[in-house]
Amino acid sequence: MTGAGEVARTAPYPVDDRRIALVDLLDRLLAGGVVVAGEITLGIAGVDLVRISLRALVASVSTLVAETDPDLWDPGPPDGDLPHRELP
Amino acid sequence: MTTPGLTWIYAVVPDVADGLLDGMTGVAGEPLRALTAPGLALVVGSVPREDFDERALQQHLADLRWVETAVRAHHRVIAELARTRRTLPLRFATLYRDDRGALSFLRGAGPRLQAALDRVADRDEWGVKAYLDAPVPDAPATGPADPPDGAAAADDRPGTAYLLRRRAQRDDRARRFEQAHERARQIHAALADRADEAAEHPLQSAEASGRAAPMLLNGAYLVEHARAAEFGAAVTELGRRTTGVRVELTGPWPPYSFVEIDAEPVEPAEPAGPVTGSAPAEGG
Repeated sequence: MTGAGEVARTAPYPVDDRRIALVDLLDRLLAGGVVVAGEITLGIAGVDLVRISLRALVASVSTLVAETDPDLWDPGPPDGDLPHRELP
Repeated sequence: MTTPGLTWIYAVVPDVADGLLDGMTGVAGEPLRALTAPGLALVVGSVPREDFDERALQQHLADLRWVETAVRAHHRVIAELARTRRTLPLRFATLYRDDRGALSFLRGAGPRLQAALDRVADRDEWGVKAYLDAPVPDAPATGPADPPDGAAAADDRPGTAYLLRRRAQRDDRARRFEQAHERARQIHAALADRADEAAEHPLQSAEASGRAAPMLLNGAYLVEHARAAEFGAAVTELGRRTTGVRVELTGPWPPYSFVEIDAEPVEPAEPAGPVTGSAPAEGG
């Protein structure tokens, strides 16, 4: 994303942008959106399952990131600052 | 005409005119279709039963690679729709056994969906996250605290001094955290004032965010297009003048966090279609 100031109504949605942090997406897609009684839904248990696997995966991701796709887990620090993303 | 797969529902839009769905694909790479009711279109795709029935879904959920791909695909559809239409995103992984179930939802919830669409018209969601922006605490000790291993005879009580210093640091950190937390509350309040609606997501853990710095705010704000620039400038300004807090803007998002529809009128569970018993054929 570019600077916050230049947001305009024509700003495109960040479609298919791998730089969107997965956690931000999960916040919205698993907890937001219209909830309806579909015949199959994730339910609380499913959401928890995702959270657990997220935790497990992120814990092992520091090595993974280096090896595979550097962008995949990039939390996308805006504007120049060095990313602080060392995991303990 | 039976649809072989399950019906995954993505979003509700007012219409799908002008070839809106042409070339778009969903979570299983499937082409998208629309089920319609007066003034409403439900964007759906047919996904393979063996990959998306309850059991398969539960298994997939433990595989974060799968989840990531599916979540991004669901989002991609919604974001694409939201470029040109008022869009109500549906919760990730809502499926019906066939189109009939999905259609009966659309018809049953019609007026409530219309109202929700109106609420998000000409508005986007923006995300604002704040983190503690603390200077890295200095090394645990100044002075000869690093005993060269071997014969570092602890002559006085360097251990005590060390512990005292550690405690002071800890207290200091706690105080800074407290202050930063308070400032984050003020940022949220200031931004909520400039938005039509505001919401907060749970704070992301350091593991999930991939940041060492603790998160202080994970806010979402529904902002009119006409006021988006102003909102963005306010975020920048708040970030600039709030010491000890690092502020980040994400978005624009489709209005994921602001699409609650009124509760469904309660009715006895009624099968939306002939739900045939699951076929026993399973690959193992």
